[in-house]
Amino acid sequence: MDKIKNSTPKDIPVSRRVLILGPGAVSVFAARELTKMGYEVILISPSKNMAGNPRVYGAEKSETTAVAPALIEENGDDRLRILPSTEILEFGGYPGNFKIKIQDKENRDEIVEAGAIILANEPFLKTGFDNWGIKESETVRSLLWLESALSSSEDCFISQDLPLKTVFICGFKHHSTPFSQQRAIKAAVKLAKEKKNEVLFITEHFKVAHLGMERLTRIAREAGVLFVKLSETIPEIKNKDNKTTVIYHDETLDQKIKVEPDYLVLEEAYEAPDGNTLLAKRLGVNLDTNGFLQGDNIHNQPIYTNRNGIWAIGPAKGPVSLEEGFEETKAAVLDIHGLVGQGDWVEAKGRVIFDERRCGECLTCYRLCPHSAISFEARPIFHESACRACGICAAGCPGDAIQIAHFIDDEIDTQIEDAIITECEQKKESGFRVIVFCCENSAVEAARIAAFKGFKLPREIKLITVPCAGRVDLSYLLKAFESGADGVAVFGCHHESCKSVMGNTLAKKRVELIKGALEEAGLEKERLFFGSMAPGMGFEFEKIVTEMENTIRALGQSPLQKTADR
Amino acid sequence: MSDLNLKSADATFIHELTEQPGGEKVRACFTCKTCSASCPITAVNETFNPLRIIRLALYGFRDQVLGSDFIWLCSSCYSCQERCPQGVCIADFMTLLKNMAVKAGYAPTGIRAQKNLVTKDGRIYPLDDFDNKKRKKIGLPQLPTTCEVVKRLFPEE
Repeated sequence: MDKIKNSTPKDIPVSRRVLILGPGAVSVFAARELTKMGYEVILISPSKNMAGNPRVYGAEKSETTAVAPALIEENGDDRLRILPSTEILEFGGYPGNFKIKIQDKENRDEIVEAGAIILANEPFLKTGFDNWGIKESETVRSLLWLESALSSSEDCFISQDLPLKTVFICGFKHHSTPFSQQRAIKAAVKLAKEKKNEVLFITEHFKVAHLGMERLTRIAREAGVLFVKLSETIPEIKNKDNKTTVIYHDETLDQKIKVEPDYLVLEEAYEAPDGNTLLAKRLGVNLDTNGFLQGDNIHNQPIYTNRNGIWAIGPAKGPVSLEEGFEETKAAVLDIHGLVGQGDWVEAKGRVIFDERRCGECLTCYRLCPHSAISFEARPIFHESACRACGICAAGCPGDAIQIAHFIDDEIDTQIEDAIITECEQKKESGFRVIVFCCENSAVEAARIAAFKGFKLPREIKLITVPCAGRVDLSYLLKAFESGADGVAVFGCHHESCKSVMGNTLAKKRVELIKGALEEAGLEKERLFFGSMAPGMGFEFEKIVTEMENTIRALGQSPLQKTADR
Repeated sequence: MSDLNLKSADATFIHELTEQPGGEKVRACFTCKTCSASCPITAVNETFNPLRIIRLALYGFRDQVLGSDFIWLCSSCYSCQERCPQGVCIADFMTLLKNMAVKAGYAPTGIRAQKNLVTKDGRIYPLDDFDNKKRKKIGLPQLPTTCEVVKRLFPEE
């Protein structure tokens, strides 16, 4: 390690331009906030309409019309470029200096530079008829239709003799959101109060906990809307000869109820834009299970993605209210100000140590990096502004060409040897040694809490801190056994809670791999553990450690230990 | 139990109920089942269930509610009313339903017999000469065996 290239901190010029992906009120709001602070902004949208759809936020039209188009109109600012019908074609660079190739509808492309990216594209509303296997007809309608019919002057909801019956079906399996439910209730109240309709609101998962919903439901009940909550069955809808029948099982009565409504109203689902899959691939950003642009990981909350320099706010992560969208915009703007506000960025002191001579140009690091912090030009280039120093690349590198400062292979090896030797000297007769690799983000904290609560870690168990469970090299595990450890464990974070997206998954995989190797070598595979925990789980840490201790004590000394002792 | 068709429901029923004392807050019910859980009668006889009656009333099944025996099973212990988180006056609501049932001619035979007794004698337990003889023996004043005033409470049907 004598010829390690230890880069010195230096100022890197960064672009004070921000690219915002719309459409929608939140993206427009972000553009306004950033231009106010003197940033150059490029606001692009794959669709022609930049203002988006206010319904996405569960808002009345009037609430947002004031924001979005007004800004687009007042666009006298030369710092703001608005590019409708434009898509991101290629994406490269690193935080502070992204290079983005964009293309408009007429296939004209352009490469723009930006210091940061804000993703704020809106979901779209998909009618729910297919989900229920029916077609839109005069009696079966979508919520959007109802809303526009209610706001128009013509009256199709008042009948001469009997009041009309309207049935809402809302909050069933197919991604129902508080926003569509809020809209449905507002429409139901209008129907019951102003049009004197008999309104039946059939629902399954109803989000009363959402802001203002409890009040709304009370207003609705007082207005005469009858709520039916189903938890075991779903309603059966038949539509024949323009006559709709809904049959459902009322759980409080334990009876089947048949309704023939004059209108059946179905809510829309909020679906991620079609282009998200491709876009995420181009940006190197993880998608969540519903296809929105923020991966399902606790550390992404509230506005982050797995890549530094790319923020996912408001509607890009799924349906949010307008207020939430605006709050998140402000948070993202502050972050961006921190990253590119000064016009240059001070690179951290070499956290990644790279030994060019050992590099085999195999691209493993490039493929493994969960934060896209490594680019490749004949040799890997590590971008400090994108790197989170998790060490996944270092563990994956077959040539050990990459090291993370403070967690260098040699240092860890020494720690392993020390742990075993000190134990040998102090307690020759018991000769029981266990090495636990603890993720800095979870297990180390959990151990601290366990200690604080009075748990005394057995002296035979030694903890070795790693920046992420993904840093645990195969060689560490083998080295520990080779040095004479009776048991080895890797403690990482829970599923989808890894700060580095996949550090815990990789660690688990490696543990499984070594377990196979142990068996082949004639050792019990139970000597190797993988445990997952959250940083606050002191009690669980204690439980796992005790369990592990018992297992290993039962197994007795490692056969390799005797050789090591000699 | 047989299926119910909302066609046979009467939407005016719930309007009628909410306009009378005892029925004002019945729409606030959010079917938490606290009333059923508190009801000492539900514990013995499951056909009686305050929530069920409220639901049927909310749907507007007038005949099913007023014609059922179970509204008469309520003992007005007020457990449900005390515990209802939504402030529905359930015991008062039951009284309201009983009154409406009588008006609609749904009173069960037992209740009808009691009513006839009270109309005739002014008491549920009628007094006769035997009682007065016993009263005389121990020096108590005689009581009337009929009560004409009470009759006026019940108009001729």
